[in-house]
This record gives sequence, C-alpha cells and structure tokens, in this order.
Amino acid sequence: MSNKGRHRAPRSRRGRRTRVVAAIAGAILSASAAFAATNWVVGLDAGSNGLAQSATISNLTITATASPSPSNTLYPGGSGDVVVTISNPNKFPVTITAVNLPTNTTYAAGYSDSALTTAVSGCNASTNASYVTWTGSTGVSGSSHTLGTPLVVAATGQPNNPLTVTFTNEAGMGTSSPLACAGIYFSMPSFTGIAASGGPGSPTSSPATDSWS
Amino acid sequence: MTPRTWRVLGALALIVCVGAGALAAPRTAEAATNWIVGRGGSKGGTGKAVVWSPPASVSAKCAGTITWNINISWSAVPHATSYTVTRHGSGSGTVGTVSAPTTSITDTQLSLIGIGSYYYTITATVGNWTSAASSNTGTVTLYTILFITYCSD
Repeated sequence: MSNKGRHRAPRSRRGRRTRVVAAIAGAILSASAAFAATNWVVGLDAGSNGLAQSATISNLTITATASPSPSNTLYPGGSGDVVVTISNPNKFPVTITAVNLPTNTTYAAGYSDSALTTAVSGCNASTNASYVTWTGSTGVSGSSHTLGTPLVVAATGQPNNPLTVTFTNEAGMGTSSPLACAGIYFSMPSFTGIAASGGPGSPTSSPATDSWS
Repeated sequence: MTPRTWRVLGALALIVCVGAGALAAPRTAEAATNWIVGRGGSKGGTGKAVVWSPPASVSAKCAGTITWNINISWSAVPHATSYTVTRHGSGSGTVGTVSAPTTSITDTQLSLIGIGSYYYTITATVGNWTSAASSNTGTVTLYTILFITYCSD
C-alpha cells in the first residue's frame, strides 16, 4: 500500500502539470483564433457609405473625372479606359488592393459632355441601355477583383491625394449598344466596395494607370 | 516546492510571456489593416465611346475603258466589322456588303441596269452601330458607241 501511494503522487502531479500546460496552450490558441476572426470585413452593401473597422477611419471617395481623357475608347464589342479620382480623408495612407463590382447588368449612363452633366436620353442605364459595364463584372453584385498594382493613396493634405487613376480597358460595351452611345461620355456604375488597408506606404504618383484581374 | 517545480513554473511563465508577446505584436499591426471601405459619390468613373464616323477617301473608278464594271474603294474605319455600299444615280440600290478588313468592291450589276451616270456611298457597321453615309464618290458614266459600252470617271 505504501509503495502504491508513493508512486501515485508523482503521476498525479504530472497529470496536473499536463492539464495546466494544455490549458495555457488552449487559451493561446483560442485567443489567436478569435483574433484571426476579427478585423476582416468581407462585404459591403451596394450603395452604402461603407464599413470601417474603426471609428477613426473614414471612407475613401471615388468619383468620375474628365481629365485625363480616356485613351482607349469604347465601341460595340470592345473595351475602353475609365478614369477615376480617389480621395483619402484619413491622416494616413491607404492602400487599395481590390475593387468590388456591381453586376454585369448594371449599365453606365451616357452624357454628351465630359463633365457628365447633360444626359443622352438614347443611351442610359435603363430603358435605352448603353450596355456599358465594368470589365469582369458578373451576375453577382460585389465580385472582387484584385488590382494589378496596389494603389496607395496619400494621407489627407499630402501630394498625390486625390489620386487620379486610369483603369485601362476596364469598361466594356456590348454589341447591342445603340448608336446614340457613339462619341459620348459614360458615368460608370459605382463600385460596391473596395478592399483597402491603412498604414505606411509610398503613395502612388498621380496620374496613375492600373487594371484588375 | 522543489527546484524542479520552480523550473517548470518558470518555463510555463516564459511560454505565456512569449505567447502574449507574439499575439500582441500582430494585433497592433493588424488593427490598422484589413478593412474595407466604401466609395462616395454616385459616379464610378468616366469612360468614352468612339465617334462613329463614315468611311473617308471614297472613290469610284472604271475597271477599264470598255467595261460595265466599276471599282469602289474607301478608307478603313477602326473597329468596323463590315461596310455596305449603295449605288445612286441612274439606278439605285445596294451594291453589297463586305466584311472588314476589306475596303473595296466591284459593281458588276450595271450591265443589267443600263448605261447612265452613277455614284456611290458607303456606311460602316460595328454591332448595332451603322454610320451615316459617306460623302459621294465621284460620278462614273457609262455610254455606248456603236454597240460598245465605254466607261468614264
């Protein structure tokens, strides 16, 4: 009996030690898993003002711009350039890595002027559809497309903010596009979101060119 | 506690500290990354369509001195997939449609139409777009002397 008692005690201590180590390891792994599940926002409703991880992070603004004029112009069955201006209101650079596109039936509206103020009734986004869409858009809204080169938009007040970008051949025109769409300008549908990260980075020089896959 | 127990506790404390440090470091960096932001404004960018112009440098020439045939040619329109040639003058109608990159056609129907003066226009097409008619070609005249048909351009 006494011999049994002498040997049982060390086994119990070892078992307790094992449980302690396992508990600590488990706690570490749990914390890691919980952390990995945070800080990832994977969607953005179309037309929303955006979601940000922190109240101190403000949304970027992407707008149409008339200059520089697109070099590659659209025609039925062809593709053309799209020019945008991206503004970053944050006090730190933001790196854009991907864009989220609306569906392939979300059409651009036609305008007779580069300022996009005078609409062309025979070439619009609905009744007389332009059939101009983002290249790579699908039947599902929000499809993600990785930029060939990440765009770093400088902090607010810094040079190269806003950043003007030409997306090369990232608009496409369907063969059913009406003749009223010839020779006019298009207001492309808004992105449904963009994937971006904040932090240090060398700002992209404006104007820039880019494309996505 | 025995010295061995202290060593074990020390090792465990070291593991906890290292683990906490490893987690804390990426958390700080991670907190500033991996967010998705929306866009502002209602216009996602500016695109532009080509101006769809009719073919230029249109020409109609006799295929010979004694002939009923007339050669018509024009300059290519970028992105056009086909061209349609229309006859005007003493007899009107469609001469034919050719696929790009061909930029010429011969009117071989005039022996059935008869002598007279003719000129031509050409349109360019891509998808649903058909251009306005080109400017007129020069006029070509067919005439007969002693049952022989001559062509003059």
